[in-house]
Amino acid sequence: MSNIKNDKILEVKNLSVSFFTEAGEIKAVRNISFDIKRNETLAIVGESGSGKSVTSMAIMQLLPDKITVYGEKSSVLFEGQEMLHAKESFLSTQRGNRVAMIFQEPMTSLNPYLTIGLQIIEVLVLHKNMSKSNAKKRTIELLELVGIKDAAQRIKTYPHEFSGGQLQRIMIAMALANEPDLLIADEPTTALDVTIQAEVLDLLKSLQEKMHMSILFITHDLGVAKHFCDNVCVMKEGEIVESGKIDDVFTAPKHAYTKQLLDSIPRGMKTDLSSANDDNLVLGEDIWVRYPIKTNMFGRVTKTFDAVKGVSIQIKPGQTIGIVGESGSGKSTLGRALVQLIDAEGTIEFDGNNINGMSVDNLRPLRADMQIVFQDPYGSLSPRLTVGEIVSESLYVHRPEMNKKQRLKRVEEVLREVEIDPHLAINRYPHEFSGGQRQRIAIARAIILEPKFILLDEPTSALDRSVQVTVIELLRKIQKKYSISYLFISHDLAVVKAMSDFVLVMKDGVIVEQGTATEIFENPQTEYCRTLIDAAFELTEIAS
Amino acid sequence: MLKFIIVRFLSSIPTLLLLIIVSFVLMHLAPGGPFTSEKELPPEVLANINAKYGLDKSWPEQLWNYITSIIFHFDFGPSFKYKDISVNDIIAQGFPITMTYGLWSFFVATTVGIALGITAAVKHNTWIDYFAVGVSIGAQVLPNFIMAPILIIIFTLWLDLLPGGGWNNGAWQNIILPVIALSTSFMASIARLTRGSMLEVLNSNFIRTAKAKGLPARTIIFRHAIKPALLPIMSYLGPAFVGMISGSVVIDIYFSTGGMGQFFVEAALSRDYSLLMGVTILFGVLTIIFSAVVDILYAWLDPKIKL
Repeated sequence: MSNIKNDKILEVKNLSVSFFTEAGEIKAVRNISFDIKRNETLAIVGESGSGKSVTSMAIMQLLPDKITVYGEKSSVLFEGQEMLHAKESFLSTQRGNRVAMIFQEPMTSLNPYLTIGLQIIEVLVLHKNMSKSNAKKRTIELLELVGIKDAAQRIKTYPHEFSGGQLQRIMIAMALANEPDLLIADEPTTALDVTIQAEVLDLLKSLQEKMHMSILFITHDLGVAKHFCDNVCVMKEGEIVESGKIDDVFTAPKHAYTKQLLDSIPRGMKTDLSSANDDNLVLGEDIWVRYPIKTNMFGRVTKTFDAVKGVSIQIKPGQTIGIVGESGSGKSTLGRALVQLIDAEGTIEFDGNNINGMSVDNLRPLRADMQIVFQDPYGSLSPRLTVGEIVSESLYVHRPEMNKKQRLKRVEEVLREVEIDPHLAINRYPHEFSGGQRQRIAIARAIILEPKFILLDEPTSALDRSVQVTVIELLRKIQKKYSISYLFISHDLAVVKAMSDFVLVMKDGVIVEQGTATEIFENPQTEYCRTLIDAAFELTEIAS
Repeated sequence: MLKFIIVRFLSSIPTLLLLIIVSFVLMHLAPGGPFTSEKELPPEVLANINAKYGLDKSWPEQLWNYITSIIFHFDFGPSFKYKDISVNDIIAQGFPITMTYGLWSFFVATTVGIALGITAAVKHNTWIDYFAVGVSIGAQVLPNFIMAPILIIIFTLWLDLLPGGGWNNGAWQNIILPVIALSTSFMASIARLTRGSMLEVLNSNFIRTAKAKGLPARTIIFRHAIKPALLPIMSYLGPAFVGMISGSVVIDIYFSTGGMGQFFVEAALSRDYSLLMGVTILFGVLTIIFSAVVDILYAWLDPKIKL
């Protein structure tokens, strides 16, 4: 933070935002005030639904006019000028020019039908009145500045030809094209892999120094906030519960909620329940998964994409194997091949049976012992079935001898097991539950048959940190009670560390490193693994 | 790109052959024939006629002769019903008429439909939107066979503004009513599709980005929103065009325009095998060409599809 000018660039006073929908009034932001000085970086942290994104959209005046109502005393002054209810003609001279914004999802935030060059050029032409050819030159400079190679060639390409990390760099280039005074970054790294996250944050930091701008940084990730920001506001249910210098707030939090947030980073390690003598429950040898990417005129596959290349894996009863890797490393594909949801080559044994290529009918009795919990608790529970129906469904297939009363009793048992009140839940539908509750329901569905093995495919990635911790504790408790084996797939190393006995690190379809959790995290052997760990724990080190 | 186009057209040849065979077989399976009538012909006369038109040969032989004469001589054979006129003559006379009002209808349906849909989406939840939605729902429940008599009643019988039938060498007065009758329900579908698709695009993240860049509303709509909103409409245009061509049957009957549709119905009723086959193949070819054109256009517009 430099002290050239310490005047306030943004002053938010008594901001209240409500939405009027068919369901009634929703108070998203309740009377919050804060300000940002020049060159300062302010973090707004909070969990989903805390109102932090609404705050940023209110500053930019991007909320839908018709349903949004601001409080009477609300005011947002940007460089002394009121933004709330400002005329569209005034706003368009500020947006993209003096105040710019980058978003959480770089993949959908750029227009897929326009070249990236044009999308940057248009901001320069609009606000700086540049000629097209000058704007093009400047665009190439900007893209080089954010680290896009061969910028002169690539301005002619479309967003789908870039990776998520590159797209976020392009978004940054676009936002900073006119050297704004304030950049609003709404979860800019949340959708990116950890290694890419760190790179993008470093880039933002260096550009901030170069361009002398202020940043309003919105995130749910305390590690990122700590790493990146000067000051912080902690938001909960539309209110700021605590604010101040980031070090003060994080080392000596005053408000209970801040403490709870800081405590919710998963820690510790699992104690091994298996013994070396046990037979393997799951055994995979030389597993290959190939997807056709090119076929000739007669439909014969001429080129394949190999998602998993000759991977071997063993899981013993009661053991948790963690698989980590960035997106596209083949970790989910491997998991799905092991439970025969997709075709694979190689040997796959489950509980002593060779299941690879087994017919659906023969496989069905074994399915009772292998269950899955997916990443997205919103998408993987049928919205048209009640919780009771979802949880009990597999009983009809695998326990046909049970009568209605017995089924109901069993459903109530498992729901209690996952700490959901059965009387409240059984007749309700998934959308009436929060993300964490839905994931508990998904776990109840998976354990109702008391399986020997559960594939956990990023089960906590869609959840807020504080909810994550409770779900992980639940999974540990269940494992202890039933001695279930887990295959735990995640890109989140802190969670994997807390859950696993043995860790496999995957990259481009192969295992690059494996060992016990202690070996991997304390003494990583490969460069790739070190980068992953550095990137992850640099951001979360504040927890310890 | 060229490879894609060539493959696309080559792959439609088997489709076309299948179409010919299936319609040929279906037609011959139905009882009766072109020369069956209430007044029975003497058997020797019937045999003569059958021999003249090659109907005494076996089915496969007839089919083979038919296909080869199309491929090598571009000859669809003589009409069984109209003496001394070949199917080629009938097509040459009726096809330009069908195409004239067909293409006009297509043009009107797409331009009016798209304009209406976009306006409704941009003015979402205002009276303009409600009006456009009301119009398109109203128009959709008026298929061509209802529209045609209503239009004739209003514009010909009551107002006496436009002729209620005839072609008159394609004078504009004669084109207007057939085009309105044929295009209305398609226009309504296109408008509703465009509105839905445009609304989705306007709520997308990249439009939010465009607003955050300070772009004026006009630029956002015309540069950023229209193309992605219209791409899904493209895939509806193929079936819509085919629908309009087959709708020409109704138009020809109500307005006596003399297009292909009229011959189609007559040929089916009187078992004029060669004429019916000729018209079927023609409609088939049109359908195939048009859906290929739509596919190619789609691929050309969508940067994610590389040809």
